[in-house]
Amino acid sequence: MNIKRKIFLSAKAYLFLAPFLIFFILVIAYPVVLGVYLSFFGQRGARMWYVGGENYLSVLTDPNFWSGFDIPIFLLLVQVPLMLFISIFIALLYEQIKHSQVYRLIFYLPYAIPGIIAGIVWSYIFSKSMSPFIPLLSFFGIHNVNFLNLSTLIWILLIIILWEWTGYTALIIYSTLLSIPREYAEAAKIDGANNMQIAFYIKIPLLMNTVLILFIFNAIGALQVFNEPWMLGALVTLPPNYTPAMYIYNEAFYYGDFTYAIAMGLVLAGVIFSISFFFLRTASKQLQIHE
Amino acid sequence: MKKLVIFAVLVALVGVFVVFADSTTYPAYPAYTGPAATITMWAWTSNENYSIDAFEKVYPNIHVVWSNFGVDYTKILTSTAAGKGLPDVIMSEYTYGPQFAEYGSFQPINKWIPESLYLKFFPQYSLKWTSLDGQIYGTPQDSGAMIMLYRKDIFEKYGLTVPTTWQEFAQDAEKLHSENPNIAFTTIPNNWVIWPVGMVWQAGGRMFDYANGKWYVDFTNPTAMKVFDYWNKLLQEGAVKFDTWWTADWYKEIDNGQLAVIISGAWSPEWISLNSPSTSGKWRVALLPQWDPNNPHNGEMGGSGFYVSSQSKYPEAAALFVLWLNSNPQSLVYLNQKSQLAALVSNVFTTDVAPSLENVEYPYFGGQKIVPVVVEANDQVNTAFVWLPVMDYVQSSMQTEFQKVINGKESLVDSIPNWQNAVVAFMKKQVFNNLVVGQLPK
Repeated sequence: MNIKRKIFLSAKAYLFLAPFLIFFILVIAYPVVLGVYLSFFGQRGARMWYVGGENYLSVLTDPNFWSGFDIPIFLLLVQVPLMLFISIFIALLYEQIKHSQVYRLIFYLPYAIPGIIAGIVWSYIFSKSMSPFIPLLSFFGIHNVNFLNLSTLIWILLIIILWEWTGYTALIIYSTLLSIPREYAEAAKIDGANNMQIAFYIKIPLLMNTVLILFIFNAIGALQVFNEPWMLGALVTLPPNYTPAMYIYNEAFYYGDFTYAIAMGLVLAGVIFSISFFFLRTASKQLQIHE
Repeated sequence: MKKLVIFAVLVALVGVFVVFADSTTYPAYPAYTGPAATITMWAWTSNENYSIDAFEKVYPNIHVVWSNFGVDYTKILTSTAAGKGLPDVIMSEYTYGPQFAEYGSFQPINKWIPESLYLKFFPQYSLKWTSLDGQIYGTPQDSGAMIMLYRKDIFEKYGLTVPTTWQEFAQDAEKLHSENPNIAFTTIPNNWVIWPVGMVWQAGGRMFDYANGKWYVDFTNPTAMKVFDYWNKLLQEGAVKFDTWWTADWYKEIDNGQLAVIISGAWSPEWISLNSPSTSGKWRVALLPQWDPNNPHNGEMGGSGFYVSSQSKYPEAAALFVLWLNSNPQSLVYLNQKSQLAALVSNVFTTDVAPSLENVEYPYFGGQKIVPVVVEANDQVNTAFVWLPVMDYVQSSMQTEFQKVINGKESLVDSIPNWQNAVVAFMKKQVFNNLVVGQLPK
């Protein structure tokens, strides 16, 4: 009876899990397994030949692959912390001001615009012939400015990604703030703490779990950055290995070397996993110490 | 009895060839012997349907379904690698023909179009674009013979003469630069590999080739370096500059009159009239300046062929279609008038079609009769070579090197050996073991 019930329960559970599991197997698990298999072959168009671990050896020693990490690492170390900092600040402001729902909506809007479309619009904003800044700058006597070139691109990427994700991140932090029991702040207030002290000593420490998760998600996003540089690539010539994801795409869809691209994709996944794991481990240890 | 057999064979052979041709000087098109077939085609030229309709009347057993797929080579590549999804007929620039042949995207059609028949309709040199190792994969459509588009109004305003030699071209560029540095005399694309290769070709040279089962790479041969030296000098003087072509910014420069000359293929009159309607009437078409005016020579930038795919189930039908499409006089008139392809590669175009179009005036070019110009440009092309089977990589490694030139990290002349090294390394990684570096075949 008990066993029957157990079977029934787990069958029911799997039934509810089925929509997820089916798609997970179809679009994640199966491609990964097939990808691992294919990564042991060399390829040129329709030709394939077995090479063993050669692709992985090439990836590990391919300077083009590793130099592509410059951009993601910059984003990881500069854009992600900066965005989290601004988001916390905005979320705390949301709590303080009236009609914050209006600002929440406005700040959230960029996130609702697909990255590719945002990329196109931003590329026009920084274009050398159509930028809305051109009339303004020429009013001040500055002519022929080329905003968009290989060396400025990183800062433009920073602006676009901040614009795209800060409102969304602030909203998540704000909702975490709402879940903090009011009593904490009230008690502190009675003890004579001001808003600043409440924010720094009570609210922000309690946000840290959420911030950590956000950091990891954004770190993953930074390491996989593709859409924004890809779209800006229509206006400025980028090296094929500008980011690891772009290098993988170019190897596969321009040079026809799908199997090498798979090997790089798997190595990139490994790197992302290790970084996430490292942050999760060290950060959660620190959080435990504080608690 | 023996005589009877020979007679029967002769009758059968004659029966295979049905006379459809409008012209008496060209052989008849082969008859279709296979089952009723529907073939599919990917092509980006406009209005291919006129030729298709005419073809289906001649070959009622073959139905052609055309879809305009844009210049989406990634789709060809993925379908080739996946082993399914290719149409029967694929349009590709000549530049990428050998690459797709190497990838295994095409199948040979010699069985239906032997070389002897091919050469009746198409010039010998075009085999460099449509065949590899004697296997014919398709037929050539439009010519990419290089021409010069120039702004008549800018030339008049600054007293420039249409250059006939590269020396005069440089003088014009320097003069315009000193009088109005805001107008670029011309720009070098940093994102179109066909351009520098075409400039070397126009000088009578080449940067790579294929012969007897070997790929040859020699970017720094004397002819190529003569061309790169020339542009290097103009770049350093500021008389010409690099630009990223086909971008919104570039089109804006064209519309704003910030560009006086565009060097491109014979298809560019159509392209510019579609993309810059606001400058209508200001452009003219001219032949390219020459290195040696007594011995004029031209190269090509672009131009496309139609190839039979490796996944086609009706290769005979597809082969007959690509032969007819690109050589039948009626089809060539359609391609010229409806699809706006100025010059077609087929011999039939030169002998039978072009004379009737010589007097067509083009309002976009101020009423200029452009067909004689592009036909002459096409006639000046008398050499060809086989493009490398890794042109996508040749292009992206060029972009990387030219970006260094733009950033002032190296000169154009210095970038060429680095570019070659990158290409050679890539080909070695792609297991092209039949690679000869630093020399070209005769």
